[in-house]
Amino acid sequence: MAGNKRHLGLTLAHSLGVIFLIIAATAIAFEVMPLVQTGSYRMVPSGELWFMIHVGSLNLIQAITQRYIHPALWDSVIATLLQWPAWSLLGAPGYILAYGLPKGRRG
Amino acid sequence: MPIRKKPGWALPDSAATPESKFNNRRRLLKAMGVGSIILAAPAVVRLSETAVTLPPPMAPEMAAERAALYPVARNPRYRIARPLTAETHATTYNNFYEFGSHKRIWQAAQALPLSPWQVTIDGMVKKPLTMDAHDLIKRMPLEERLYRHRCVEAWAMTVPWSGFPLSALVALAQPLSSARYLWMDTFNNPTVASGQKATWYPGPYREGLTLAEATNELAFIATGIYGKPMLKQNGAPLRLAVPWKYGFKSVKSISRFHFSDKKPSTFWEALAPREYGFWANVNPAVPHPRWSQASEKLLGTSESVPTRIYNGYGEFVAGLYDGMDQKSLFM
Repeated sequence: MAGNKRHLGLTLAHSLGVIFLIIAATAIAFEVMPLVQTGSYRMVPSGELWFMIHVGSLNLIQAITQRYIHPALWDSVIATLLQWPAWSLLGAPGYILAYGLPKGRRG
Repeated sequence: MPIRKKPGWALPDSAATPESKFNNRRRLLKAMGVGSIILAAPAVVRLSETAVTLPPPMAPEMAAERAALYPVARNPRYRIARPLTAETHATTYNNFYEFGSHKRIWQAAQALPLSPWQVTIDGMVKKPLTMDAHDLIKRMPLEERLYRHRCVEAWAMTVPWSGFPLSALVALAQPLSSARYLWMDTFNNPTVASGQKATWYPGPYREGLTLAEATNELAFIATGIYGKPMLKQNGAPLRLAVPWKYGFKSVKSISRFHFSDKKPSTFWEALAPREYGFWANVNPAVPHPRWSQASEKLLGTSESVPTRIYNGYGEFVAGLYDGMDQKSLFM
């Protein structure tokens, strides 16, 4: 029973990692395509990508963090991280979750 | 037998990560350069700091000249049947999205420098103008009005605003006959307003009214509160007060009035059009998608009272919307 739960957890973590990697790859594409087309590079911050994907959840998480945890947690930490390139913020944890965790029980 | 409730953070020993795997993960993290997350450490350190960097104080003579305009005579036409909200509550429980989503805005907003403050009037007008906010305020017919204010979050307050009818500003601007809308923008200063550092949001905060709404007698530009100059957290040096609409329509700290024949894309409408539309007229029968608008909590009290259509100002404004799609008017 505990083994099944662990297996399920690892599978979910792997899946989440793959999703993160796909989003990170999409972010790279967003940066590379204009570079190829126009020769100018523009970094896509994580916040911008989140805004494009689902602005409602971005706004909600900000409100919850600032109102119920601490305003500075958003302003000083999360907002700072959201300025980072999306590929780096999601690529690293995506890689860890997808490839850095022990493999789940097969078959 | 005593029952021991396990706290949420408690884990069984079996859940502990074996040392070998723990060390492997540390190596992996290192190899991937995730140590760069340490770059965020200064931000974490700043977490404990809540101090706001204050701008240089306004010159004493300027502050005195500004304060000397108030109090102004109250216009008895706008009566209310509710007690005024205590000043401490109305000036410390605020929304001001430029400074965040939390309710400590009144502290964060102190970073906003008010002098100099240029106000631009442009777009479809006979002659565009840019002038100092104080000079604009001095040219306007000041009066005090008691207005109810209904926030979309279902709280309400009753406030004595000082200021001037928006119609007076429209008259000064002399819009062209082709102008249909008045856009109003707040300041743009990301160095003091943390919310404006998020470049992915449409900015600066923009709201708008039709010209018919802007010239309605209720539409008011508030420049003072409780008989004193407007406080930063309440929208100094000048903010809109349209009491028949939800509070987010009443844009704060305006720096630009723009006349246009096009409906503006307003800040909240761009973010969540199904929740915060252009019209945003108060209606207890039309709930917000996530909560009821049937009643409102009076700020500073435990009292909850029924909300009224157009926030009780229907006699002044209902005629503005005759023949319009009633559904979209209230979201």
